[in-house]
Amino acid sequence: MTTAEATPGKAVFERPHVFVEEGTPWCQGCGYGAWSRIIIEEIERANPAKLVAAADIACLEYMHEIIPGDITIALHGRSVSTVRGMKMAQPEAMAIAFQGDGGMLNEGLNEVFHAAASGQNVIAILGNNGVFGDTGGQYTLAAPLGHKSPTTPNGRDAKINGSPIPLAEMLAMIPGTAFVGRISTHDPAYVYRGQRILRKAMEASMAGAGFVFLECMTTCPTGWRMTPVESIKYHEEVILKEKPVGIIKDWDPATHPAVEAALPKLG
Amino acid sequence: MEQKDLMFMRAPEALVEASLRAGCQLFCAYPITPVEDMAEYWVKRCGEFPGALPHFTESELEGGAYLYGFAASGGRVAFASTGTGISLISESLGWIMDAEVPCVLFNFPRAGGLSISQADYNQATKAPSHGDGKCLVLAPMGTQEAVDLTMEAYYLADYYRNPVMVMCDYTLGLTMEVVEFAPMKTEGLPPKDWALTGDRGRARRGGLASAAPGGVTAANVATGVDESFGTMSRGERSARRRADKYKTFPVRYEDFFMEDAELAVVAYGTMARMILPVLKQLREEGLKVGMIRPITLFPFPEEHINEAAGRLQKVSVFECNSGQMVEDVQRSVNGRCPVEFYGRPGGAAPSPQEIEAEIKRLVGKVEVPA
Repeated sequence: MTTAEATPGKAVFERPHVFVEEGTPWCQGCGYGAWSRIIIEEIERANPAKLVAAADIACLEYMHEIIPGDITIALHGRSVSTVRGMKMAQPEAMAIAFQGDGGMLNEGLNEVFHAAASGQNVIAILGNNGVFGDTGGQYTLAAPLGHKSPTTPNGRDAKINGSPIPLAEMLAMIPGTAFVGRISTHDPAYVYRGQRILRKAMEASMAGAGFVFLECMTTCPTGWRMTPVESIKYHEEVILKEKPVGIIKDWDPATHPAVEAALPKLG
Repeated sequence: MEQKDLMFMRAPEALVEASLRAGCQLFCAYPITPVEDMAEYWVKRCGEFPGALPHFTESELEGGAYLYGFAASGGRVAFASTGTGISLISESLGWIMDAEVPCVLFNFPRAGGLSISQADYNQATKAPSHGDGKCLVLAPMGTQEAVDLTMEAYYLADYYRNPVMVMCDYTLGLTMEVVEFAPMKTEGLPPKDWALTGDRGRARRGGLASAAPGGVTAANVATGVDESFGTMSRGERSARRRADKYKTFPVRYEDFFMEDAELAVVAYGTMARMILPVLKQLREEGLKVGMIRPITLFPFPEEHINEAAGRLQKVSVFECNSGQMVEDVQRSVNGRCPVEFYGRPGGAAPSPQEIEAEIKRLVGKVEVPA
């Protein structure tokens, strides 16, 4: 994956320098690696002078190994609120919260709504794979109906387990949100498109737009009890059918003025 | 900015005023009596203090997260509630104590309803959260002392990088008195070079808490997560260091008529304040009774009580609960003299006559039917 040493001339493709040599810290075949990589690339492109971040206890806590800034592991479900506190103390910082669907939809749902309503200029990133991956794949409130997991052995049944929460669509309804998008990074075309959506999200936050929400649809072959190839098929045929990628709410400065001044850049 | 140094005000508002003067920038207060007055006073007054944010905390859970995030990023922050709110932020408190982030907590314990209570003594001193962490707990007896201890709480929190709780009670929450504000002491406070400021220009370094996983590439990492580290886990090393830190917390207490006392009452907060006039009257009657008032509930003035117990015939603990601090007193006395207990749980408070009758019973002056 690194640029060949012997090749003279301009490097056109490199691994982000903050990635550790071993690669990403997640399970083999996990979808988190692809979108965390483009997040780091876009952080480096946006190049904020200050970056504060928080990542939930669970799979995403390993974000601390790769984020090029100050990051804390927050309590499960509390990353958005924790990063709001960090942002209040460091108003010139870009602020990013990383939460999985268990942390955001199950444990801390009210807090992401309050954050959206506040309009505070923070970026909330939801890594959504429909399961508690870190603990073995139990379903979360984001899981599609019919999803089989150790706690829904016969498939998720709305009568027993309730129905999935369309969080991104609900957040888009809140006036405080400046930008809401959904991406997937399970194949190169989606990575390409996802990175451009992410770039718009980062640019909005750098411009001081307000609350930015990005849902990253992710496979979890370990938690889903599938091979990576099977998980991508399931992801395309089941998950993305109900959750198409794209910009759900684009930032329009004319109707949603920036809540703060543009964030300073490094250097 | 108008700087009145002498004011006549309610205790909760006085504590907010003290917080503003101590440089507190974010005050997390969710409405629960008497804390709503603090939220209102903060919003009304914070505009006059540069850096103080008018933010109103949406819920206690978020208050706990703000405490952690705001303080971790270098801000000065406080949280106020009753014991129920302390229960709600308990999880965050564990995280905060593990990561060693400074903050100040105001606690107005209530019984089932709106009345005096000391029922949250154990919560504050023994188990503010899961884990091995401890808060430094200060228990004022009146509004002036509460103001002084508040100013000091911010200092102690920063100095020890630990939550400091100002343990009030509902009666104090309804008290209105003249209070004087002195400037906050700041000498000797180290710079917050551990703070997660987000500054990407500086060199990468270890992190906020010694409990942070080692060998990571992020600029700063704060976490309560353990990771195996040599023969002793990093978690154990850090927990041992914190336990040593708790032993250095300052112990404070106040003695009343203890020089020749044969019976000592131990009481804190408003209970001590209720006992004091009765004690003065009994002294005038010639009874050799005194009082030890712990000002720090954690750390508890163990050594002082043990030393005093060697000269006493009896110790009695007065509390507005079913018996909580009495366990600390028994532990401190350690068999050197009998320890009795007089408790009024469920929001009840003794009248001066009841206090007098109980003390007289203890010294064998009057037999009170059980």
